[in-house]
Amino acid sequence: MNTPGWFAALLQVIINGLLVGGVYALSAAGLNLVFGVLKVANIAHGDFMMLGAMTAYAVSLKLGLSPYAAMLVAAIVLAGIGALTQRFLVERVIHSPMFVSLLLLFAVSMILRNGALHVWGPTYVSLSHDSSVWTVGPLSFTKLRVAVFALGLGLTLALLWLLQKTAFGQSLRATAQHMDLAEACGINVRRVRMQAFALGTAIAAMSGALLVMLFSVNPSMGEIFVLKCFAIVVVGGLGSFSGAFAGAMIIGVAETLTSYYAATQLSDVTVFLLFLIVLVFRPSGVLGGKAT
Amino acid sequence: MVKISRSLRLLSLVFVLALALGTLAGCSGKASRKTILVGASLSLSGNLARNGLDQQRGYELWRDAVNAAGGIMGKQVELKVYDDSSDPQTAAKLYEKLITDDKVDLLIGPYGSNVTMAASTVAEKYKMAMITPGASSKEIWERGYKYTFQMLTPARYQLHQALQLAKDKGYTTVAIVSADSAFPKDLANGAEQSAKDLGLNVVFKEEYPEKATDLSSLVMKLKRANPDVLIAGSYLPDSVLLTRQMKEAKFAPKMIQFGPNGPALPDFAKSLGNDANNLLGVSQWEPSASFPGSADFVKSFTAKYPGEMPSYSVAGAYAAGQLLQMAIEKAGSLKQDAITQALYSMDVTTIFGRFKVDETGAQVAHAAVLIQVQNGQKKVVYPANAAETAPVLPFPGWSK
Amino acid sequence: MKNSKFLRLAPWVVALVALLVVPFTASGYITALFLSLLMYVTLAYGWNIISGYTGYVSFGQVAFFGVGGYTCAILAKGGVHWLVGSLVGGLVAGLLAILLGLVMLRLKGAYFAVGMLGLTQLFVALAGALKRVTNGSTGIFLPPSLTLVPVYLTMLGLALAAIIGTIFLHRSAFGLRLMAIREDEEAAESLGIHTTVYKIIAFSISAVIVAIAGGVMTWYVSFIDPQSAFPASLNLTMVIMAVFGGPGTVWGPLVGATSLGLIAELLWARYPGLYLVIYGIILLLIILYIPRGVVPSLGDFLRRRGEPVRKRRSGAVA
Repeated sequence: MNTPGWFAALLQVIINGLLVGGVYALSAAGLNLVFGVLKVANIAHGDFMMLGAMTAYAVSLKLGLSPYAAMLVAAIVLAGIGALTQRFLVERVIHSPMFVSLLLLFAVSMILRNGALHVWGPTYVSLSHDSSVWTVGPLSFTKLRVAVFALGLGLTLALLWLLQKTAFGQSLRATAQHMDLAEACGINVRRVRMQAFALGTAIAAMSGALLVMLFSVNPSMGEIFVLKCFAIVVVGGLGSFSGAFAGAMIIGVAETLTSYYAATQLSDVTVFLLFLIVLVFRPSGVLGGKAT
Repeated sequence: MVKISRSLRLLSLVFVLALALGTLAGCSGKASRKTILVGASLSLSGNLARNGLDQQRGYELWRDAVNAAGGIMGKQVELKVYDDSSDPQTAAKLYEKLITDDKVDLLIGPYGSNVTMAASTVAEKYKMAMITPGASSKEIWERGYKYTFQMLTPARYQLHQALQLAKDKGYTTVAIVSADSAFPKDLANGAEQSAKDLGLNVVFKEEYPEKATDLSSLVMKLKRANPDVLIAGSYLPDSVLLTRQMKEAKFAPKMIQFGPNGPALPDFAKSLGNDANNLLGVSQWEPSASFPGSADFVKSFTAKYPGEMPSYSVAGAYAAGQLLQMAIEKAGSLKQDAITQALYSMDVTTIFGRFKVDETGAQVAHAAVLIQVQNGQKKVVYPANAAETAPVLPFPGWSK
Repeated sequence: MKNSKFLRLAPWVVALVALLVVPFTASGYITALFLSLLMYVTLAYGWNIISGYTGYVSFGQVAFFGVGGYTCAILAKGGVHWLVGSLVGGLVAGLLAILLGLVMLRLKGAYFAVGMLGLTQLFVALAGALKRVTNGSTGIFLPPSLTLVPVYLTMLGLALAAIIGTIFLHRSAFGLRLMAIREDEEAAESLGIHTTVYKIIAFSISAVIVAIAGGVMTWYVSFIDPQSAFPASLNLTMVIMAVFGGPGTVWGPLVGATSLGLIAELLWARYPGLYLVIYGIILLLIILYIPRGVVPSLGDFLRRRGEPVRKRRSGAVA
């Protein structure tokens, strides 16, 4: 009741930042997984998100599915595309220097983005948006963004559980830590890598499908998100899931704080400055410690 | 050292290739052609591909219409279009190619002010007239060029009517936001100037990154500034984002006015549904326009692209072709100097509206209109002589 | 002996003369095409020094392209000749690279690559935000240059300088030390090479070359804004061209830049709707089948065919 205006504003800005962070957390999780296990910087990540978004949109429109059901369809389709990409392309350069896989995925990105442009055209699309809001005292929460946040958090927890508690997770971690040793221990590292990449693109597709509800997107959307995803993953610590979630929150809040208290235009400066500072002075990410 | 001799051979191979390309390119001649070749580069990939595509459709519809009617001076028209990906340097190279390699007879402009800037320099160099349906930044016409002709209402005047309307309604305070690239910023600066000229009070002005993924803080600041009128110079994705986040924050000023890349585009209402209602936009042209030939143009568009309505970009591109044809027929030849002279002296009406330029080639006669989405339908609401219906003002609030 | 040396140089002289007459005889399009090829060549050589020779694979050298472009634009706006502006742009970028190198070159492998990608984004954001310096998103408009000739000749000179510099680098002790860093930085350090100093010098030289090219191209386009100053496509194009030709070789960047540049040119003229897809597929095939680059792979191929290895004076062997 007696919350001073400035304090309510600060709280609202931070909440908005955390909710944006939820979007980022989801977007960056797939990138992080692929980097953690394969040591591959997937520069086509944004384009896999785009494919997820466009697939979800098309499925939702053609089959009349709800956006969330369409999200699952997109995840399955993209898991398949991801598995194929890994099996027939990335796997062949997995032992080459890191920049080779990066260039390879850049070529994949070119093909996906411009192929999609050819198929769907440059029209912007968006799925029905629920902009209803919960109000708590002077604060407000957009329901859809809260849902996205919850999904981001849930996914992070699920991934952590998967990694720590399941046999699949164990083989993922082993492959991430030492490919050759993992292979010597009888792990089929090729299959593990394929599963990891497929899981990564499936998560990318899910985030894309959610973005199509929040934003208006077209086949060029990948370039908007991919670099921010890199920033998040780096701030959180490459390959660490709890770190990436923290990174997403930090980036989200840093953006909204900068926009509110300084200038909106400076938000990108803050993001990439933060990215470089963390990269140089704390390469293991803000949470530090062990990766994956 | 074996390496060197080998690479030498490689090098010479590359050179032979390059030179072969050069000679090949020089082969096709203008003299042997029986058609009129019209060339343009457009942004067909990348961020602005949507607008590029519209322009391409406009050019193609014009070509089909002209050819069906017997061509220009008895010759059929052929179109040569390249993709410049909105990159000025690529566009410059492409216009060099169109002029010196494809040897086009006529040029028409690309999409976007930055790209037009580079392309017009090439046109100027070869003294070829270029009508530009996709550029409205004032800097292009401040360089003393003689061969570049503007069709659109200059960016800095586009929102003038909106502020006039605000004043008519008795609103006094204005907030202006824009994406941080050349065109939206031009819009915003023009709006600020108009507001001052009309005696309105600009209480807030800020830019945001063109590819912003969150504008919640900006909306909070807007809410705090509490203006009567919000003016937004934006592109389509950020128009949609801004609208959604304004609704989420329950920010509802008395009037919400976008530039040409908001409610005026078909994708906007498609993305937003009911949330697009009662928002205002600027349009250089609307399908409801009653200029000679507009109705037939809309008919031919909907016949070719069922389920879609032409945007102003399509109509503008089509009209650019019309203008070329009028200029040629007036000049009685395909000589560039004659065409240029004709364009300077013309005061004509195309399907897009009036065309008349000043001595710099800048547009002085074309009038934009204000549109508003009313119950999901785009309606012209201002100025009175073009209006289909009265504007719904003040903004009645967001839909449930 | 003199004679054979002459014979060896003859093709080069012919090529150079041919390149020199292009802007005077060929059409505007061919000149513009060659200008862009020369720019690709220059950028690929610039990248090659820090990434090909030293092994620090940068995905952000385009940051210096923009620094050069902005310096040139700002100076030219103030009445300075564009050529001077471009050279000063090179100097500014070189000094900036020394400062940035102190920080960035502490990163290794993927971290450096990704870090440079982020650095470029920071530069884009800064160019938009520092309105007093860059005129923000409105950009800087320069008086248009209606003739291509001076720009073309400057770029030709720059490309030649980059090539000749690389020839010398390849044979020099300095170049050897860079390659030692690439092969094993710790071992190089333990041999007494001041790796940090050498890395920073290589980074700085690379930045100078790229930045001058940026200045020249800015004058050519006569316009600069944050989007056109740091073109994302160019950033990766220069890497791909150098890698296609063969990174860390003398002739790789030349072969890669000219051939891929020409392929791209042929494609977009013929398949305007799909050329980026086709280009992507070509890149994919190159990376999968000739990952070491054309020059080394062709070398191996010829050697396997049993081409007689001619004897050369020692010392000329790198």
